[in-house]
Amino acid sequence: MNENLSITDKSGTQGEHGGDDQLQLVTFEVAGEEFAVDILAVQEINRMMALTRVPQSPPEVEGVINLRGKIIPVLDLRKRFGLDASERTEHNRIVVVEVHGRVIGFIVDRVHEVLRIPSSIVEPAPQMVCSINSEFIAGVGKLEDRLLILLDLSRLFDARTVDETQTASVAA
Amino acid sequence: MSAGGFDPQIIQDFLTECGELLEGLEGDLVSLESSPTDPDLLNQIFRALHTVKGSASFLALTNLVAIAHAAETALNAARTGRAVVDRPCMNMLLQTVDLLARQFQQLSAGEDLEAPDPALVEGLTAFGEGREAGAADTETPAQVASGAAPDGPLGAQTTPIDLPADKMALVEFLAPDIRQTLDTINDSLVALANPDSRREAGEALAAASDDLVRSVDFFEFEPVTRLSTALRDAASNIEDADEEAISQIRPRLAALSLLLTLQADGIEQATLYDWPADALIERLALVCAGKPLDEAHSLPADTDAEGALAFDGVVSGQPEQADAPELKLADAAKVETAQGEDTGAKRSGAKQVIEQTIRVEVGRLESLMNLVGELVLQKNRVAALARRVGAAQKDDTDLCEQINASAEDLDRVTGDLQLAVMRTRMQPLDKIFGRYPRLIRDLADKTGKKINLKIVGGDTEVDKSVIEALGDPLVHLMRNSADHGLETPEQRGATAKSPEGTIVLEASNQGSHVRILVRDDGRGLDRARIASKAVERGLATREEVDALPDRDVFRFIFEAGFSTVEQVSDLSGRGVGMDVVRTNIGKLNGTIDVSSTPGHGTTFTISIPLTVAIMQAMMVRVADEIYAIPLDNVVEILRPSDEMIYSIGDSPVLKTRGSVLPLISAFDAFEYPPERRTETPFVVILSVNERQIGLRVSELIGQQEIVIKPLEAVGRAGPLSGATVRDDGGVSLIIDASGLIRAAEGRKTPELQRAA
Repeated sequence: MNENLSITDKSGTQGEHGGDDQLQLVTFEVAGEEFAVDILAVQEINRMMALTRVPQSPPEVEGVINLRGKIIPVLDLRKRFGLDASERTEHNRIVVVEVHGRVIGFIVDRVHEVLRIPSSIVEPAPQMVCSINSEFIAGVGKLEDRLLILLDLSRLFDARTVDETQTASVAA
Repeated sequence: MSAGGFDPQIIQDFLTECGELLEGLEGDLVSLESSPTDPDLLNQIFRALHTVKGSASFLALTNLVAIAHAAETALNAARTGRAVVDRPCMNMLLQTVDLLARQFQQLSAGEDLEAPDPALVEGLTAFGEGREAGAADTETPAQVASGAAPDGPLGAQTTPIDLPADKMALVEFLAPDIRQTLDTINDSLVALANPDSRREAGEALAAASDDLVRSVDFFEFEPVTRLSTALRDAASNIEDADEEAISQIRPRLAALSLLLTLQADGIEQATLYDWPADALIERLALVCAGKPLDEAHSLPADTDAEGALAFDGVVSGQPEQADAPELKLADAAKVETAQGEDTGAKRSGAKQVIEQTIRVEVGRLESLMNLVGELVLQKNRVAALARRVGAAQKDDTDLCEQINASAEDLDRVTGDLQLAVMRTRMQPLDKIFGRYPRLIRDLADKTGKKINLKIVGGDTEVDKSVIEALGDPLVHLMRNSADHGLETPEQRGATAKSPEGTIVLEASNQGSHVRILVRDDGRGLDRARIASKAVERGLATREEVDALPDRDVFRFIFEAGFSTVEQVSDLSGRGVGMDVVRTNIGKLNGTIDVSSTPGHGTTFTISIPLTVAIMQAMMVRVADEIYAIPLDNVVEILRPSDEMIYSIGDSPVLKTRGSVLPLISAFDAFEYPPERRTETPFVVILSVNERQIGLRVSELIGQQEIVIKPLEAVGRAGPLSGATVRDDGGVSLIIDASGLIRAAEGRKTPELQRAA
């Protein structure tokens, strides 16, 4: 499971590995920026479906869905990044990932492609790369024509959400 | 030492099987304390220890064997009436059980097993040998005979015992072991003579000799193995023998028993004996297999053990040795066929027994249960589709009927399947109740009180997960009763009560729920003290408390950190118990209530669903979302007229049938933004622990069987106990009625502020 989330490791240790390592990524768009996550962490990508809102849940939790009999939370990545919500369009997708054994879905504006890039072109995140909090960023991939922001899924979904889960279950 | 080198699976099997025996042991020992001479109980305890020891010696767990053996020695003395288990002895036996439990844990964790306290071993052994502890004669095991050993008894050939060191250490247990088994065997030999007790005696003989074979096998003492195997084989089909066969069998069994007794003596001298016993064994096998013997090989009437030994040529100097080889050949052929049939029959017999129960990993049952849950959801979905087809295809009535019939069949089969799977997970409450006599005994010891524990309805079955989750709350309640509820014998004497306090643990089945009562006849709860404590802790104002009925005041004891006992004791009274009890029971969707009469005692009533995975729910719509409410919490559903609803202060209330209930809107409870709010013409009256509340909803959908799925992955959430998948595939949240009631009440009392 942890290997699925090893984007951080790969990008962080690229120097030792040389340029031969390939990263296989799923890329998608949120608020005009292009993001990527390791394909191994992605379980599936679904069209938008009806969400059941959960009262008094953390603000970024949009609701829960039925994923073949399993109830999983779905987060809005825009809200997670602290951005304003936008209207839903036909391009919205729910990307389902597994982070530390927890299955979580997140809503993106649209999914682009599956991409293979050499890990050598990934560099650590600069302080100010875009509008989002740099602690969620595992690295930046410099393509010929554009920048790819590699997300650190464990930070993105652990730092707050998991903590909240624990406090919630204690309080319950 | 550890059980290194053994297949982990074997160790696991040992832990499972002997773990169950150990669980039973503790309860049996405590029962033994009240009836120390009960022969059945003594035998049962003895057998359990014996089996544990036997299996442990196979795994070469010396430290475990040593303590089990000592305890067995003590019990054997009690079993044979040479001593009566007194309190010191009982304490030692209970310490033994504790030690064994620790050793099991160490074994399971792959650690070295702790060595028993020599004083404990010595104490038990001394009890068994009927002497004072410490007065052990420092008798060392007899010196190993060196070199030329004298000829053994009855002209046996002798062989010195030579074993690897690890086995040698265990040999000293073998001789007493054989003797103990022989006691049983000799008893059954007597019983065999009587046709009425023959069957029973045969079974006892078979079991005892089977034990013997196993202990002996380990050491690979060929001559002993041969004798004990012969005994076991004979015993296994002795029950069908007729009168004449018995007359041939008994003396030969007695002869085997005699030889084994001699072997036991020999083993203590580190010597094995060997006799030419083939003829004896063969003839015994023949008779037992139902084959009559030639007259020449039939024992004369009233032959005793020695006579049989002489007759069958085990002891030299008997008359028919001359034609023995010839007979042997003829017999051998018969024996072969006889044994062929006989093992075949035995195997099928054994198979029948084995198939009565089968060990299944809990994980497999869990996944079966999950699958059944999925099936229930799919069934609901098919039923919903069938209804839609019925509505859409009004012309094709035949198709509609068929679909409906099929959906109904599916419903019935799924229901049966669900019940059957649920039943595989059901276990009697005795599994946890069995631990409490020991607990109460220790509590009585520590508090100096006299406590009588009565357990009723321990055979009531509930789901395994419920059993596990119930264990700790019940321990808390019983500790509470023993420590705070019951008075000391002197205090009880002063109030003309019997000096012995009683705690009753009573379980009963109430349809889809199990009710468990923990009742004591102690001093009862102190209303005044609880009330002032509640005021002191800011749970309510003095005026509020004074207005509350007793039962509502008593409920304060379930609040976190609420303890009225000034002196914190080792047992309870840290004020962490009761709220944990309530939380744990709540996790099982159960309820707990308390009632008490000053001077007459306190009763805790727990009610929990038989299973936690599937329940009946009322589906309600709130604006555009559908929620599920556990049907157990629904008292009534109504569509109130305007005059039934009014306000007290700022809080809306519902007046129905003369009572006034707090009324909350689902929009408030679940924080709907103003733009999504619609009409809420319906009120569902919810009840938990007899506290009621009205919940306003938009619409009633109907009753549905739901499968509960956890909502943990979401993080914090409102008064919800989980989620479920509806028959249309959508997700519905399950309303936690007790959370809702607490939240609603919290708006009036400071309770919620504290929780938040």
